[in-house]
Amino acid sequence: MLKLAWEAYIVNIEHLGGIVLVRLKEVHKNFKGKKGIIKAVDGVSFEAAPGEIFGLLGPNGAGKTTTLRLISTLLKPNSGEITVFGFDTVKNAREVRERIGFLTSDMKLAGNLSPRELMYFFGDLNHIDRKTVGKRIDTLASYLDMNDFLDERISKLSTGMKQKASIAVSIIHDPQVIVFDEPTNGLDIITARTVTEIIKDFKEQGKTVIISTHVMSVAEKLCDRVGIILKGKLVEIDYLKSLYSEYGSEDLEDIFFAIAEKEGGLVDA
Amino acid sequence: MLKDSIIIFKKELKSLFKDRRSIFFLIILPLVLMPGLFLTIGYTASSQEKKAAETVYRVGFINLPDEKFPEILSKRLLYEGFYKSFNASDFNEVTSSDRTVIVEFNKNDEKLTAKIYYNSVSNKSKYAMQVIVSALNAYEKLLLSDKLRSYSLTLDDLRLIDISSVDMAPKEAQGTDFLAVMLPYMILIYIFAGSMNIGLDTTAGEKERGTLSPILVNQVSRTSIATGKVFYVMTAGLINSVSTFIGLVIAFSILGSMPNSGLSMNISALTPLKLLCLLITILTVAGLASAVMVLLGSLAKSMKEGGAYVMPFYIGAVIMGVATMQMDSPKNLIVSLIPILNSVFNMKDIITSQISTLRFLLMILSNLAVMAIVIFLTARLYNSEKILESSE
Repeated sequence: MLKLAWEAYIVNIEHLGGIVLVRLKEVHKNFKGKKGIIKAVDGVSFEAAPGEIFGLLGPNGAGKTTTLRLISTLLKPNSGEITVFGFDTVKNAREVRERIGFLTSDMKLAGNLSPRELMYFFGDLNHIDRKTVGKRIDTLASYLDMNDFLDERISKLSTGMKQKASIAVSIIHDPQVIVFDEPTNGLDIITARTVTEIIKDFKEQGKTVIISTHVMSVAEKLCDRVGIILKGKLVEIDYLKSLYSEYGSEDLEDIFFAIAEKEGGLVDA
Repeated sequence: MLKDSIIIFKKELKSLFKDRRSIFFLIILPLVLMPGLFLTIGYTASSQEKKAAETVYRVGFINLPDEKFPEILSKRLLYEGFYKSFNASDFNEVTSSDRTVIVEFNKNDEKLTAKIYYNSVSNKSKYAMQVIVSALNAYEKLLLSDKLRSYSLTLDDLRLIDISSVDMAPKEAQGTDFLAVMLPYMILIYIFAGSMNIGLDTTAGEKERGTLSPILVNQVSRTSIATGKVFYVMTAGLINSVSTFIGLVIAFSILGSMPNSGLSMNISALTPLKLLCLLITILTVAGLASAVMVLLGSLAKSMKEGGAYVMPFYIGAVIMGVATMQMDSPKNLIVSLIPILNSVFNMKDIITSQISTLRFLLMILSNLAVMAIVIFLTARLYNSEKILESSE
């Protein structure tokens, strides 16, 4: 079934003109654990196109964050290949980083710098000239509604303001691909709403967005396509609508558990 | 690479200087604490001595041979004399009071013995005992000169050697001994204390806040990130130790102008060249300590774990500082190759004008070499996936 879904997706991609910004091919990532080798990512393959939100769904420890870190060049695969804009994440890491924005809800900005100063800092880290960064700050401040607190100390900002600042610093270089690990994790309802709206906007702007989440409602709201990852393996990948029709349910949580059941359950033997 | 390191360095330093608490702890506190600490010690010591000198004591005499001794003592100590019987219960007063002292005389075969009963727990009682000892010495001289007179001799006739001592230390080194004892210890402690918190915050703290990953997904190399952080922590440690140094100099300048302080220092001994040499020495220590703190903080998964990693190094620095306080600088060149320890002795040598160019250069080379190795290990860690390991 996975194979069929994959083929259907390839047809769709070809229909869109065959543009693929992110491609993972048989990616494996192992870690050394106390009980031996842990296969954190076990032969994962998928692609993501411009203007698409792709969601990696799975329980904690399934391999979602590791997969996103692999795409973001933070980790190197043991085998397989990952390309972003055709650039290999291992061989051309700098080119990949130029085109990618890595965000995580775990990022807790702190300290005495203002969002503007942090954006200049991240602009410098991306080797963008200060004039361009200045213009980009103006754009992002208007877009994310940050003008009122752009020069306030981060330590004095609310959670929502900090989250906006985190997003702003991560996309200061205007990346075409956004990788967002657990975008709404630990956020209050208002901030979570703001974040989901921003992610939808990224899609409207034609960016490729890859998110990981264990919250099915987030995936239902945001994703065009989802990949279900269990124990490091991508066991299902399809458009949401296709999944709904295939499983005869519009509840992604039910579908997720049905797939998990079919794959031998969520609990390790 | 250096340009990228400076990006990290500048950002961290800017953040540090925008934090009033950090400025207070790094710069203002040592400037205030050092003079405050030493002035308090000096003031307390002199006021205790003054109080002890102004106290009226009760001195008991047992078997007093004559009235000459009480007369000598009265010129040195304010006291009311009283006579005691040789009864054990009479000595309870010495234990229970802080101003009662008993002197027991005995005469055996023309030889006089004097035993002083005092309470060592009481500073006043100790003071009285010391004054009585000096009065007894004077009394002994009086008895001796009386005896010599019967042989038509004086005390001077018995003095066959007229002893005097001449300090041949370079003029610029005289009066620097107390600074040579205190400065290396204080600098060492402050460098480690200053770099410890900042080093942990910029490494393990960054992991805890989840801000490390976004910094790694950028155009700067990870080696640049590691070196930028070391430069930053080193600068903070250097600022902290220079403030400590200035604070100590201020403290000793004030103490020197206080009468009977005993903690004075020859400030003019610190020539510009000596200050430059001290600055270079402090810089190498700060660099090494910072590199170690950044490495350990980067290895840690959390601030708590980082604290456990760096604490043994901090304690080691304290022990080294205390152990070397009273030690003279060894001339053995091998010591110049032992990081940190070489700097402690070099600081002593610089202050006391005993600096050796060879030992000084060996210290710089040794500290820089070890620092380079630690930075290399930190850069390797940043280039590996281990840097992402956190407690989350």
